[in-house]
Amino acid sequence: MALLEASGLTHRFGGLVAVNDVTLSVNAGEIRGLIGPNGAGKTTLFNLLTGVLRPNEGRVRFEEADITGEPTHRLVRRGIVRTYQLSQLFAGFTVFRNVLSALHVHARAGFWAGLLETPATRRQNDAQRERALEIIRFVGLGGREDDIAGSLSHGHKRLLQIAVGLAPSPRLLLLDEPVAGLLHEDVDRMMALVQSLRDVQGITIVLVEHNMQAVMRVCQHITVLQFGAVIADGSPAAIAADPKVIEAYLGVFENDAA
Amino acid sequence: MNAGWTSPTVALVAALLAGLVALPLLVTDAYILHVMILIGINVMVAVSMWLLGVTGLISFGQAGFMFIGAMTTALLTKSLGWPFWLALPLSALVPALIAAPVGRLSLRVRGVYFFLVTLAFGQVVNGVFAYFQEPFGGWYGIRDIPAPQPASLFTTLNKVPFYYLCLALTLITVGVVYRVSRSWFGNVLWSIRESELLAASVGIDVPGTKLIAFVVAALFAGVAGSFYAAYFAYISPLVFTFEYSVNMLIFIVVGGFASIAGPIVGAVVLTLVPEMFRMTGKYQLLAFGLILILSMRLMPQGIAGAYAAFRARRVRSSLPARAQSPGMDRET
Amino acid sequence: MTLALQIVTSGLVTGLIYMLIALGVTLLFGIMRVVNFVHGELVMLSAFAVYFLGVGELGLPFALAMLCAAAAAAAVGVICQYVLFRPMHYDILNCFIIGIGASFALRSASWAIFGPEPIAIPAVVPGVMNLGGVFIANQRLFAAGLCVVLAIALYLFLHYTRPGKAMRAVEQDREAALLMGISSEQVYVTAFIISAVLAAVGGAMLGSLFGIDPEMGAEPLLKSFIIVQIGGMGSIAGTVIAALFIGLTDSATGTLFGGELAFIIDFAILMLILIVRPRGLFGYDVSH
Repeated sequence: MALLEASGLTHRFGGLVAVNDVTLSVNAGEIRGLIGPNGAGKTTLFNLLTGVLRPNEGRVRFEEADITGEPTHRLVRRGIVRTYQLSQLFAGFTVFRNVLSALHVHARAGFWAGLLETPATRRQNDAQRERALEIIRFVGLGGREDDIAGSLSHGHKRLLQIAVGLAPSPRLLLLDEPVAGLLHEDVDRMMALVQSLRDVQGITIVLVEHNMQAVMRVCQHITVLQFGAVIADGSPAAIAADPKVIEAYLGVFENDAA
Repeated sequence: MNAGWTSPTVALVAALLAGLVALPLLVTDAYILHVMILIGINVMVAVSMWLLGVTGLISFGQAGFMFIGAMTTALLTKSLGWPFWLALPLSALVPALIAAPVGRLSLRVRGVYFFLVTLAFGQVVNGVFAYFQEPFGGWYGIRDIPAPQPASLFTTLNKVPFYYLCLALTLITVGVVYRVSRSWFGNVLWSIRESELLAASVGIDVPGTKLIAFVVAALFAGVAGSFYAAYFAYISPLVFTFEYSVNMLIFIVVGGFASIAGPIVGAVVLTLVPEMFRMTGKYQLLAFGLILILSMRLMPQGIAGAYAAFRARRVRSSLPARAQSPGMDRET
Repeated sequence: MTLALQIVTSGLVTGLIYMLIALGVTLLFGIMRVVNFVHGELVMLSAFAVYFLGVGELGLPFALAMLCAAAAAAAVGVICQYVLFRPMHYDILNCFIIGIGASFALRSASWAIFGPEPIAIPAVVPGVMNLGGVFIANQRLFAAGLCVVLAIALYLFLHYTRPGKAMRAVEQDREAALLMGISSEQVYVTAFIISAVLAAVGGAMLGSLFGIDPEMGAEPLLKSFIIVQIGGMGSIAGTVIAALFIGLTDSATGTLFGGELAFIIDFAILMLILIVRPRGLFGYDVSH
């Protein structure tokens, strides 16, 4: 069953076609890789899928519903969450407050209850605090709840990004270069986390990455973009053997092939 | 959510409140009560502007909303004979209702140009009220606005009932804004301040939230305006000018954004200073201009921010620095 | 019919003067993303300078007085840049706030020195011309002509001289310009100077037509903001068209309905633009 379907997505910036008639379909429970040389349009595609940009042409469907052009915050409520290349965090907040803030948005209590603090809201608040701690432990930041987000190491910031992304209980998680700038051990830890997100939490994942080893290891299905268009779409083995893909990367592949 | 309220703080606030309530019993000079009332009005507006300012929005037209609230009270009590107590809630509601579409439109421009539109809006309110002699009084304004009932209590001779009314309204305003700033909605505002992009990505409707903050700020400006009309008994376009909007802006610039203490301290200090030095008219303008420049250059985080940084530096600890997170930390 | 022509000519003249002042605003904004609140006071101070140098004390010829005023305005402009805006790292909101502070200080200082009463200035170019039944003061023609000349000069400067092209490069892409060896600091100083000179001439013209007083800077400034918003921040063509449009509507409403209403109409037009096209006529897409 296709969870996310993009058909004929096209987006132009002035005279430049950044995304060119892209069609792809992601099934529930997949870990999909989205790769391509720099400037291939991967981040723009993400922006189209997550309400940051409106496509000039084409449609996006999520769980059978048309979500083309819906704003980011409404997509979150549908269960689509996205992380960013440059770590977006509430830098001045603690790790705990970062995750709790993301959880709070989905409080059912509402504006007035927040002012009045009834026993019901207090119970809900306690439940949310528990859940925040759970999420923090799950991503591997246990023990750092009171650290200021801005003071974390790069690797920990990335983990926090994932934690914040998990708070709205997403069904689909779009990760934009989750291991960029990470050291080798951190890369392994992050990819193990990504795997467990699907295995343990049942979240469907689409990730953009340049790190070929990571992508090949974790993704069952890979889509390759070049100049805004899909040039290949299939299993890691098929992609690695595809002459068009090899040509697009011009030898980078051979160095990184497992 | 009582994080951050140490016993000394509680004692201090309690003493302050007791002092404020007891003041008219200890002091007979009407002028002092008058200054306290001025402080109250300014605190009300400053605190509501602060809440809006947390989201990164500065409104340069708050005087306009105050004027709308004041005008509503003036017209209802003087022309229609309604009691002040009925006019007051309406004077809060009308500016809020006007703020909704105005805010919507203003937010269509990228956030930083939002303030230009608010500035123009304040001028337009002033202009409209100045242009139409009927029913707004034109440049002459509206005089002889009736005092709140019972008229026997709120005479022009005795400021004490006005003082208590102002104190009540101010405490309610501060109380509500404080509760909101510590609530989950308040945390949404702080989140937007930290990162608008991430806020949207976790599901926060950023423009919608900013609009709510804008409407709330207008509402409290209306309350302050309503009281102004009842107390001074005279309103005119010469009062609610752009300079008055900037006046209120100075409270939060000098006071700082770090906590609700910022606008309160800013309003108190910058109401007392002109009164103490008997600065009026253009000299007050000159002083405020210089204060604004100096504050932006030398103390951009405001008094509250400077104090918080001072406190943080005094805490020698090997743990990483703790952020200011009202009520949102793990410990209670 | 003559009333209509009168309105049109009067509107065009004031529109052209507002255009000059608004060009200064949009230049600074387009290049540095700075909204300069002191701009209005530069208008006012220049008008006073021209008066005291030319008409009052020293009796200098008008051209010389205006040159001196322009130089003084440029100096003040650069001082403001280094004392006020640069320390704020050219952040838009902070510059706006500190600019308001400076404008208050300058305005009240001027009030303290010169007093609140408006001062009328005798016309530099006396006499009246009769164009097909419409009487136009020569002073107005002179003002209009000067504004047009300067606007064309600005256009030529931006498109055909090295410093001008450098400014346009920085406006489009600051980092790319840096890579090409263009110093943005130099460009900024140039922008402040040009903006100040435009304000100075605008102020001199306004003063010669309508008299001078310490408050005279506020209205042109506010009108400039509206003009620049309607025309699109950073767009010269937009500023020109919007300024003429505002000048005409102000003249029409002012003659027919009275002054305050003119401002309300301007604001209504602004609101309309915000509903229909928030970026203004020619501006960049600012809705992100």
